[in-house]
Amino acid sequence: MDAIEVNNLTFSYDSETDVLKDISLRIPKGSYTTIIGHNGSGKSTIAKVLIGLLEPQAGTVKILGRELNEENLYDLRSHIGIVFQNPDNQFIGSTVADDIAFGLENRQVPQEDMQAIIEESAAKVGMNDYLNAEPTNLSGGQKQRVAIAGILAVKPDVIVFDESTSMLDPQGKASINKQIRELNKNKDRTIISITHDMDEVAQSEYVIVLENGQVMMEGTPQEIFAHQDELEKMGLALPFALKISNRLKDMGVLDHGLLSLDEVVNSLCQLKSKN
Amino acid sequence: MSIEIKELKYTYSPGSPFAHKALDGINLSIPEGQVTAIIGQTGSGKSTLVQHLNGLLKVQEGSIDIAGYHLEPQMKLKEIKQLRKKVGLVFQFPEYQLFEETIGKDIAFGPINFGDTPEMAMEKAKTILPKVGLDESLIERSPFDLSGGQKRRVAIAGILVQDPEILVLDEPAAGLDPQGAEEMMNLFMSLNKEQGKTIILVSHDMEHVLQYCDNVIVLENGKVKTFCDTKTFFKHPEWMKEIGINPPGIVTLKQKLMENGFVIDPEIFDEEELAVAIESQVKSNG
Amino acid sequence: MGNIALGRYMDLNSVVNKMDPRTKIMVLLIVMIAIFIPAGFWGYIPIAIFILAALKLSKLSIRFALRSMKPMMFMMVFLLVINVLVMKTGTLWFKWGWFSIYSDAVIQTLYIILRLLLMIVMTTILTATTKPLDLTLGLEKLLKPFEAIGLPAHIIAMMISIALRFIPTLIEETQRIMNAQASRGVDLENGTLKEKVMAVLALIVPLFVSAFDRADQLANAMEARGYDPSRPRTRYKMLKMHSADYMALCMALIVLLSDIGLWMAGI
Repeated sequence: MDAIEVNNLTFSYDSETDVLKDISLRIPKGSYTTIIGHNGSGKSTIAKVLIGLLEPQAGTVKILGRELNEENLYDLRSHIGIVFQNPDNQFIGSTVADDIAFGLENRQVPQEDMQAIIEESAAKVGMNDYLNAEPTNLSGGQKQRVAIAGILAVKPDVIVFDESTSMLDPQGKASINKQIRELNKNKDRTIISITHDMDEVAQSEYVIVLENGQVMMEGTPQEIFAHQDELEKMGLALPFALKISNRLKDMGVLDHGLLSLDEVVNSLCQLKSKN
Repeated sequence: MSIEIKELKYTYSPGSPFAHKALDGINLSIPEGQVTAIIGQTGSGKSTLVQHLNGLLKVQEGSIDIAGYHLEPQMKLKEIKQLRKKVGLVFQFPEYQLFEETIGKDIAFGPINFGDTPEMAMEKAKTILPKVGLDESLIERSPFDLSGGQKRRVAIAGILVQDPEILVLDEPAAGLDPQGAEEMMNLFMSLNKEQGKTIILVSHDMEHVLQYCDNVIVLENGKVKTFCDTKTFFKHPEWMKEIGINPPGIVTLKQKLMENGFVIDPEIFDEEELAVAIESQVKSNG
Repeated sequence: MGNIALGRYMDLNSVVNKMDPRTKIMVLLIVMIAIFIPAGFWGYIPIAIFILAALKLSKLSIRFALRSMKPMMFMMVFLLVINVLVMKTGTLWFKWGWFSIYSDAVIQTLYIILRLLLMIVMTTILTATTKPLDLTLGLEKLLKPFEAIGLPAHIIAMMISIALRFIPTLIEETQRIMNAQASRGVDLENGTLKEKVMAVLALIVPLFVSAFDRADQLANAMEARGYDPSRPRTRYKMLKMHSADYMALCMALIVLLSDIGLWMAGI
């Protein structure tokens, strides 16, 4: 069973221009999937449709095999969570603990169970020392980690990251990217990350490329990055490791493109010692 | 004329329990006509320093010489408006400063404040639009109808239209997609190359710093930790590690290769040159 | 903004900090009623003693409490001027040409100022010892019985707590927009009226645009996390009354009763 199954989805904000045009896609359960495309390609719209914030004009969305509709929206939302872009505008509680509690309160989790869940979720994102901290005293990265903890507290099967690192400084970005990989380590959660960060894309398992509201390409990062020209036309740059290894491949030094710098260095060292 | 900053200190809410020392004795001489990056972690004092440059923050201690003005404590600078005209400051996410009904009026807002007649200002607005990559025909449209990236261009046009000598940019490419970011940076570089404008760029993006900047200033805890030319800076990846910033890919790769016994000219910062150097190393050993 | 004492929470870890917010709200209400009972000058004695004791127990200095009066200074002076000009009863204290001061004008104003002072100090104690969110929670619980007659207590409480949560964010935003517009030559101090109107517009419009933007994103975030105002919710923070709470309530009631007593006796 797929975590997400989208069939013939069409969406428009103003019923004139379609932002999403007859999209069909599947996201395997337990996978780490990235969705890329330049601004205005429909990436963020699809995220909002997946969690039922926007209702499509046509087509269906299935979450873990169940079709999303008005009646089961509330139930299905405990299976899917989303971390948005702006760290400030999704921090609802006045302290870290209150914010993590928000989802639990909505799910009517008994009060006596909350403290343990809050502490456990905060610990998973390394924020357990900050339970009483207020949002003004937290960095953007810390706020995003609290957002993740708030979602983990309700134990969802699917977590969507909608450009969650794009407003963070490098440290915040690195810590959230690490956190995302950590969340997917045991393959018991599906991660869908909408991103511009090509290094993150290189580390994911499955990539969906959107352009003008349509799925342009999908496949493993290797498969996607093989289409260098098309990607560049869409304004998407390749990760540096791949650019340089492709160049070295053209020069006849390497056999194929590589996705991480460590792989590049290893291959080159082997070549060097062989000669 | 370069920008001379001497012993600049600044404390927020001095004398209160919330007092916070943001700048602690900054000495800098930022060269004219070049692109200088200011980097450092959040809270290192970058934005405090930058807000001194056009007089948004008044000098508490020390002095600044910039664009023909001498700024020091306890002075009432009548010409502060003229200083702000000469030193254009583009804040992070500048699209949030738009407010007028039309793009033209919004861009003309600055020049009118600085003393132009509305007609002159509108004429300037018209000529600046193509320079930021927007069509002149948009001038009568509402800025709120535009996409995020276009809004930012309008906001930046609103500063460029003042024709500042010095342009201070705080993370101008944050939140844009890679193509949008590159176009934005190219716009500023052309202003530097073609019109000789001094550019100060606050950025977290080391790829941009390496690609576009001539000098690098590193701030840490309100002090200047490093001030050197870009190449020297990127020859020391450990300096970046110390302030928690990942070096650009090419610097990391060079360093890793050198650690593994490759001999690579430290002056190489170009992908193509690096590839050639690697090729010669791998093949020449045979 | 650093000097405003009114409404700022102070983490002083006092007995009053630990009290149930419901107690503190009720005590405030009771004392407010007592303040408005026309029990004459002596009526203010028990109230003043109660408030001084509350200040002491809250570990707040009298100076801090008085500082919260600052924003009211202008209003008080204004009140005095109006009263002196309008009220012409009691004994004549001063006369110079058409200008005269009668005793009632001054005494009445002093009474009003005293009432205001007591109320403001009392409110300052409440806000200085109670986190905004606890205050909201207390309010929600106290309003709960009125849900039966259709008052959406939890929605009101949610709105208040979100408003409180976003005050620092919006202050920061205001500062940022002001800086950005100042860089475009806006000068709030000098300039003609027309320029000033434009300057205010240049601040207000972006502030509204971004506030609506935030509200939209916040609503999405809340909905995505399963918030539905029509559904029941459990609450993480529980309120519990302790012996100190009952003591405080009793003391407040004694103050109220003694004022009522003085009032009755006076009649």
